[in-house]
Amino acid sequence: MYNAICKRALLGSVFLAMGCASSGPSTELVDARRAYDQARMGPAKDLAPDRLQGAHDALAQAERAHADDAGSRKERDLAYIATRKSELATAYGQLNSDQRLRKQQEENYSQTQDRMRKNAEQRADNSERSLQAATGALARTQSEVASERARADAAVQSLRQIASVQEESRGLVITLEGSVLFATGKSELLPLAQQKLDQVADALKQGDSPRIVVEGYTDSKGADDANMKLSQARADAVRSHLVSKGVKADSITAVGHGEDRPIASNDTPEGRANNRRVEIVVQPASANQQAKPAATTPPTGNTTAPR
Amino acid sequence: MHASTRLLGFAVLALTGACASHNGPGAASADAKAAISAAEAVGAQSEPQAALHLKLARDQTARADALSRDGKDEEARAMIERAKVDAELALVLTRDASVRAQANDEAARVRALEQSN
Repeated sequence: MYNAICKRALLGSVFLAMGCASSGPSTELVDARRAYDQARMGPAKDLAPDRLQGAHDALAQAERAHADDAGSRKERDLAYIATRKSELATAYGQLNSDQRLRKQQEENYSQTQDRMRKNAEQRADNSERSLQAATGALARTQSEVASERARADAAVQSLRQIASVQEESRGLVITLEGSVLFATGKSELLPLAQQKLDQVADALKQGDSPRIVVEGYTDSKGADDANMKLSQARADAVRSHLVSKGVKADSITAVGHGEDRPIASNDTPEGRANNRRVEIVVQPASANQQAKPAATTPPTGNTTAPR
Repeated sequence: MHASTRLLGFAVLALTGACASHNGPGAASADAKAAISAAEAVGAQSEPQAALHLKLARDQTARADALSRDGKDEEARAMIERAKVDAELALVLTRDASVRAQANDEAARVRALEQSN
């Protein structure tokens, strides 16, 4: 046994001497050097430095074996192991890098979830605010409608104090006695009539641009033509006064009906007094479309178009 | 260093340490075979690069056994050392492939989440 070892040692020394003299590094050592160079250029330098150090040490062992016995099996074995350790260092560096990447992606997922949840909450908040704004606007509109209705009711109440006011299918009909407005046979407004019409004008201006028709009527005494002219002239006078007090000219029409459409008997003085009248028909804004043709082309009588 | 990597290194060190605590190549061979089993357990045979090193480790372990039977203990030990680093490399490469796939899956989940919005 001892002899065998001595023989081997001697043989090794001979090979070592030969290797030093003539042999370069083994293929395995060349591979080991290259693998280490690659490892220290990769992620192992920062992410697996202890493994890279291990690879360095393994390569140093292989280099010593080469120096001691170039081309020996030991050199090749150690170089092989050094190669693998360099590859291991690279693999560990890559593993750490990928673990960081995985952690980053997990955080990205979590952050994306949070961002989307916040966006959804923001959208819900915006929707809630929009709903509240719409609800507020509706409440304001309802309030405005109520106020408008209250103003209209107040205007009607005001009119009731100076004239007869009735709700009819053709609209709100304000009836003013002819004797209050005009002297007999005349179409000029009396001073008292002007004061009353001022109040009527104030009430009419409260409405939401209603369509207004001023209708003049007479009793049956006198000639028809004369009654027709007189009723038209009186309707025109009332219309002109209302316009002068701020009622929109393009919303008001004057029509003379003469002795047509009596509301009382013309056989008695009281009846004739009632028939001598001016009616101001206020058509609601929603009925304007239907009312317009009737106002411009009355079935009977003369018409003064809006001016 | 990530916890799982530390655990992995610990396992490998334990195997290496176990090897160092025995003198005969037979025991060292058992350690190499344990390292091979560990690589197989994580699925090294399914990863091409890892599978290559797993095969090298198996071949070298078989060769070490043969050398040992021939009384060539020193060569057997060297072959076992080679087998062990190949087995460890197979293990780490497999583990890395798994982690990389998980990272890619996470990235895909993020994209899917963003597209669903």
